[in-house]
Amino acid sequence: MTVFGGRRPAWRLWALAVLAVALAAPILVANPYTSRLSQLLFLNVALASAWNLIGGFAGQISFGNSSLFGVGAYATAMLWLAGVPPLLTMPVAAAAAAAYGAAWGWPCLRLRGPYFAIATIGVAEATRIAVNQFDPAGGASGLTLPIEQDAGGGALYVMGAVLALGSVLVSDRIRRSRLGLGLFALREDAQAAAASGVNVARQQVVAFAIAAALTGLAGSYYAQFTLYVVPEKVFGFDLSISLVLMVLVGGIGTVAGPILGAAVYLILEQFVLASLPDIHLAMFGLLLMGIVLFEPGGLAPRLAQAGSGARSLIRRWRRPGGTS
Amino acid sequence: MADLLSVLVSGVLVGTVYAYMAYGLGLIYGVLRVVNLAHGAFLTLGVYVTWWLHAAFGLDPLVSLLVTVPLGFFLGALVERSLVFRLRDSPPVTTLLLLFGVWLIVRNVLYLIFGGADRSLLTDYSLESFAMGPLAVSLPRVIVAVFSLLGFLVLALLLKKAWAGLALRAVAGDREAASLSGIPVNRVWAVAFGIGSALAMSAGSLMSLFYSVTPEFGARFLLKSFCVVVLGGLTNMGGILVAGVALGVAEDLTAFYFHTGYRDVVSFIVLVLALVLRRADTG
Repeated sequence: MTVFGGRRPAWRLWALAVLAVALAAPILVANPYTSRLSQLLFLNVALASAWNLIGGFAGQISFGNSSLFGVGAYATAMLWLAGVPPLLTMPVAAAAAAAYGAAWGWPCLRLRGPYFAIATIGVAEATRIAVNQFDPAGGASGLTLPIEQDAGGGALYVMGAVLALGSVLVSDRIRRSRLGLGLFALREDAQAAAASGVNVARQQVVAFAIAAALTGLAGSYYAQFTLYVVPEKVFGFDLSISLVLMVLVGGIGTVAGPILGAAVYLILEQFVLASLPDIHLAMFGLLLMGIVLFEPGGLAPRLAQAGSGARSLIRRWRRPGGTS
Repeated sequence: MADLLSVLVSGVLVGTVYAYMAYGLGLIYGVLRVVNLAHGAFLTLGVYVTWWLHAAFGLDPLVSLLVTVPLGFFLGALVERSLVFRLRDSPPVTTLLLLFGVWLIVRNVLYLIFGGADRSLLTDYSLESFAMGPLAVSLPRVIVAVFSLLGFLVLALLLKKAWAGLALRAVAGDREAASLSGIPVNRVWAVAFGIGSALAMSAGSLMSLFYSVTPEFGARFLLKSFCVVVLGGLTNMGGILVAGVALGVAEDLTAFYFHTGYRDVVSFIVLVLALVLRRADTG
């Protein structure tokens, strides 16, 4: 596994291609389904990139990101119903999710590995049950949002694109920063990192709060395009599992991995599961086991191989008889 | 007052089976250093096998222990041999994800076979209760608590007296040293996973007497098991018994004084607190 991730250009090309397709598709093929797919991809890219900040860079596997997503979705939904324009609710959603993330991240991030993972399940489930019982937020039946007349697919498309690109850029920026170095160091060896002067506790909480803000924004975005939030969905465990899967499939700890994983996941979800809805859990399970057992690095290294293979073929074809 | 007392009694009785259900998780962690997320799968399988044996052959849930214990041992050892063993040198989180995959598959298979509907298992004595002074105590809860305690006792004797138990404890204490003194560590791992899973499946048999049977059964009780194990100290039988009872009582008190809807929140909060506080002690 490369420590810094995303260094090999071939992964980036694939990831950029994915984003370019998502950006271009709704413009080229103007139908509601295409733009819906693009929006879902933007959403997944943002969520997976945010998960990867702490799950990939710092190696802290979280099953609790649904709690942050839900806080963002509910912040937007409740404020919107109170009369605040949806766009103005987005900073509130981000801040609320960041605050909630920092509040539970601060104690839980002191745990490592499996302990952290289990604690996040506890937090997420407790949050879900509490919201289910919370009547001012609609309880278990959730909240339905008004259908906007003026803001059509165009505004959502731009918003999604900004969100997805923004998350990727933040992720790339952190990877190169001092914060990123600290996270990588503590992933490899937390004690050694602490001994060499990394403020392990603070670095993790800062990264987690950034990830939480992005996840909350994604939740807000989700509320705006589905116009319906319900605890079982936005606080649901399935959401958290899907994030783990996306990043593992794409390539954990890399900037491009979450983009690739988000695309693969979307394709699976839309085209395979749509026809076989009864086996989605088993498919997630098999995918998870398959990756962990046979391909722990995810797709990214494979694509890099495929990319460099193709490149050397081209080189050979250009210069016949050349050595490479 | 009598109300409060009966809440306490019921909490203690349920807490005993919580401890029994959780112990397998602690045992597997102690010996293999693996967090068994497939524990939920074995709990759920136990409930379904028991329900099915009752529905199809009229077998009493307590008799079906004779099926779920060996079946759990076999399936657990199989999962260890075929999957977990391959990742013995990987970081613990990878095994956690692997076993999580096993659980997802089991859940899906149960949905496919039995559907998502809640089912319940009713025996002649399911609704019986008897008077103990001013209190009415539910008979199935007493039976289940007695069986859980018996199970604990058998296991304690096994770990203390039998050679296999000695080997298990040796591997839990120091894997290298155990291996050097001729203990077949690989086999001990499979046995530990088998015992842990047998405990989970048989706990499912017992719990089918008073919980409804759904594919999500394991999800609910896996986290409670974690809570008990972390609170009680991973392989400390006495601690786990106390933690189980404490959780059972805390849940029943919450349901009694606040709202039944918050019953399950208690265990999650206790879980997070226990994890954070205990780890802070040990570094």
